[in-house]
Amino acid sequence: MPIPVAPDAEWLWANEPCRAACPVHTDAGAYVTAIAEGRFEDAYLIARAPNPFPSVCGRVCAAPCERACRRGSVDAPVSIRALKRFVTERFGVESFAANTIWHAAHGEVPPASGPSVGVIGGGPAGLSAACDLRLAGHPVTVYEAQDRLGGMMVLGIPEYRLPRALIAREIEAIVELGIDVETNARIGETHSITDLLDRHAALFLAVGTGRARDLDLPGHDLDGVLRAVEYLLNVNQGFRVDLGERVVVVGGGNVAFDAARTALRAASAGTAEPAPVTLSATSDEDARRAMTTTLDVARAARRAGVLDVTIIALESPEEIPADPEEIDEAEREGIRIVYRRGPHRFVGDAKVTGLETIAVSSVFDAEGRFSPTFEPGTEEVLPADTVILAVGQGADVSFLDAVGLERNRVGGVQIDPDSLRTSDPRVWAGGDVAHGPRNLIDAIADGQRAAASMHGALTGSPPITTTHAVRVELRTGFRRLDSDYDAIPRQVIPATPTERRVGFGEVETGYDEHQARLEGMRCLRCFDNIMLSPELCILCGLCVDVCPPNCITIARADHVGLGNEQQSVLLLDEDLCIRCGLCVNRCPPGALSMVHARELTRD
Amino acid sequence: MTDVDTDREGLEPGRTSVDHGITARIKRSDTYRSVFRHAQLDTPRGRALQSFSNFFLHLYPVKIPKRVLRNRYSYRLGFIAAVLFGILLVTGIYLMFVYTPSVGSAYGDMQHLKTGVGFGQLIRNIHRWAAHLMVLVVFLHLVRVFYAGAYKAPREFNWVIGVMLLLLTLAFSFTGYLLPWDQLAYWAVTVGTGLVHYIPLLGGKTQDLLIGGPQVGQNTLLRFYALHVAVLPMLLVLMLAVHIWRVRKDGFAVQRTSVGAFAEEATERPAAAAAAPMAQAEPDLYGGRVRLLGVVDRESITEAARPVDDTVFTWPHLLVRHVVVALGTAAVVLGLAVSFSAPLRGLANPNVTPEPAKAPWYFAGLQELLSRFDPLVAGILIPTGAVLTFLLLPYIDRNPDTRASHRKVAILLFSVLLAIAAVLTIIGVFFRGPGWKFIAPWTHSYIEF
Repeated sequence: MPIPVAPDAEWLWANEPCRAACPVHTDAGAYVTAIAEGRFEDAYLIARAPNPFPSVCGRVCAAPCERACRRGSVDAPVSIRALKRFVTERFGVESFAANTIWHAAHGEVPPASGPSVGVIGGGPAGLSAACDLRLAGHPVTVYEAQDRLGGMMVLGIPEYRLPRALIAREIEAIVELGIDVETNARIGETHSITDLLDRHAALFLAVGTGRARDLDLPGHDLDGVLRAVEYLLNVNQGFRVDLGERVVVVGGGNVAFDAARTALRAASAGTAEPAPVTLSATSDEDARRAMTTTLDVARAARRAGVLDVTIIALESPEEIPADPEEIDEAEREGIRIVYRRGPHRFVGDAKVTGLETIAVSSVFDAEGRFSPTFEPGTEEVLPADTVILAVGQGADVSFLDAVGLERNRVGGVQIDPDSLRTSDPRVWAGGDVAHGPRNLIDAIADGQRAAASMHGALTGSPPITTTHAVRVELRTGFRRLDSDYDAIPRQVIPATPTERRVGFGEVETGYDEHQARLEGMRCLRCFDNIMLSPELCILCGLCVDVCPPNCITIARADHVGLGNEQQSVLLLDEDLCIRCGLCVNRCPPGALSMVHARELTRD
Repeated sequence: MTDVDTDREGLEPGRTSVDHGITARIKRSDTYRSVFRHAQLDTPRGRALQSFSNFFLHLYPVKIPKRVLRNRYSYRLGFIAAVLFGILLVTGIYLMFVYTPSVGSAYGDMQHLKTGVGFGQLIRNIHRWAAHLMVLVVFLHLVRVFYAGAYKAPREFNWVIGVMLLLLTLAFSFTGYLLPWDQLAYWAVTVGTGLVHYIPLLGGKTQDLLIGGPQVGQNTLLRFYALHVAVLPMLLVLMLAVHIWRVRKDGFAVQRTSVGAFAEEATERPAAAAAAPMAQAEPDLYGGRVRLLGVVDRESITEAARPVDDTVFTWPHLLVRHVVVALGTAAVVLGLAVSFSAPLRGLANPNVTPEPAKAPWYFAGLQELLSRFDPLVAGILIPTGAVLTFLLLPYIDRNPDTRASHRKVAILLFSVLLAIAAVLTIIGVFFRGPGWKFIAPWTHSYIEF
């Protein structure tokens, strides 16, 4: 059999955008197709393998995989997160199987005989690090400042999106591996950092960013001006917060409000334009996350019984960095969103009575950079009993002063980006405290990377390389004619009717089996790759003719700099290919073939 | 009916809920799917599958260049000719049921068509008009191809096949002309076959072979019948298949050089795609995520490459147009058949020569020529020369340019020849009376179609 021209393993690995985009590299394509084939338990095990929190992620993951999903360029991306939830409901910690299949995924737990590790912070980063370190044979102790583990999963995400029992079960599964936990352990109060360094061979610092940022405007210290993190933290711990009858939520990320404040000052002074801010990939993510918090706060307030909830946003409906579905849900629940207005001044004596807002004339400049400008003279007062600020959050790491760790620009801990090691060789840091507020799944990935790096440093084993091993096999007789996968629309995720959304019951109810299998069938299967055996190719062009998305090209080799004028090349546009295999089916000499690539799991 | 395959449940395009209707259930069944492999999907893949997995639509390519959709591109003449051939096949078979190729009964069968066969005369009229139109349309097709320069590389040989198809069409028409066995048929064929006699040396033998005796008679009728209903259809179907196949193989009048434009398109993919976190076999070369499948050590003989945006799916774009054109063609033929009956003169009589004895209209120009020149020149040398010139045209005219402004001599020569042929035919058909005397056509018409 002549050998086709094959890309290398790295290329094949990266050619599955969902897996490449996932911080923990979950093989989404594999579990989505397993669901389509009705192999639900396999699907769960695939989703569970790289991630100790599959059930949590199935509900609240920011799903970078979906934004990368190639199906998105055909119609809409595969609902990967909802499919994960579908299998975790059957086999995850919330199912009858409880923690058994969760544990089946990791095999034997070795005895805790290695150097001991302390994890400061029981959030997703800390717990995933603890999980991996324990499985690598280290005794692990987690120190958590609150009375329960979970960090932002518990404190920052409202219950209607993520049931508390579910988080508890998934954390319980991790703790069952044999991890010691100390709650109410505040570093700097109950323990000192030097004590912990004496007790453990290494520390992983994952304390998150629990301190809310303030909006430095006149009247910001009035009663009734709350910070989103504090509000959510109180509500999520079960405390009652009196909000009054009218609530205004001010939404926007760290970058948005840094830029907005500068602009406001310029507008008040009636002077020069402020410098525009270039939005990097991180600040884009920050804005999206902040808007999610804003919507969470508004919806939590609505559930707490407040009838009049208003969100003010700098952006227009087209510019707002939130999923349209989320905005729709909020509006359906009766939340009013006022676009293109910024906060100007808090009104009231001692107690806030309103928020003065100002019109935004533009958010982005001509080059598309973030540069809000305001129109002086358009001030209006929005009456409010409570104003909640969702304008970003920062880390509180004052307890570290004792060991003199280097800090980063935004007040967190400075780390080496590859090893996650801090300036103290015995301390590693990850999650929000090192990177600023990010997604849940990024935190989990950080914990795993830190665990690998710590394990390597503590045992002297070689650092894990980032190369990938891929097994390829020829898929003989590949046919996809019977399947109607390309015509199936994205399955709507079922949700509780609006009138029944009271209290803190979950809003999304998840797919049933039929919907899940339909949705799973929508996967284009980027792990199947088209290969050519050039010596068999007769250049008939039938592949070009039959290709539905026009992704195959025949060109003279010299025109693309790959040979001389007597040679021809076949090119395939990977962005367009839908893996229908019609080219393979039609190729008269059988020069084209379908090759299945599967990542080899490393031990 | 077998069980519903769960994998197909609710997969009708655009549906989110399962359709439990009886039709939908049948369409999801394994039995249905064993016949029709896939549902009718309104997606690019669905459109490709319409051509790909359908025997009849297999004749078409899956995609065609957009410009093929413009009527101006080909005036659909080739397709209309094929439709006419289809009409002729169907009506011809109908007529075969009620016709005996014998001098004793052929004429009677013709008369019987009028009164004793359901729609007999109408079917004969349709057959007759479709035959005339086919000769005309095939010829116009050739003229169009010439003016468009579409016979040039890489389509040289398809032009040759096309000219052969024209000759076959004439042979069809000519052999069919005899079958009614009336005076018109008898004398037209006598005049026509008489030309063969002028071939130097072999003339007599060839004429004998053709008409099977010293004069047109039972042998001629049987030979013409066999040629008309068996030999010629086989040859025509075979060559038509090759002709259509080569249209696809040689490309739709695409310049071979267009490969360069496409390659540029491939290299000019927007750099934005390169920012995606994707490893890239040769990032500098392609940009975006275009992957090299392989380098093939030969030149592409057919031109499959064309700018991506320039193609549309055959289904439904071209197919819809073809259905409309086919219906239009059928309507025109039916209109003519209803309005003008095929002629049937008296029983063929070798002893009574009608005045004038005219060849079929498409040979009238030749007949006119014969009346002016030596038979060897007018009947053999000129037609043979013309046929050979036409057949070999792509190999004589080596100018690769297809633009009219760059092939003035070829166009001028062709137009002059065309004009001469047209004038001769018109004179032969309309301006000749008894004794091949010049008459004014408005005084009396001696032509019947």
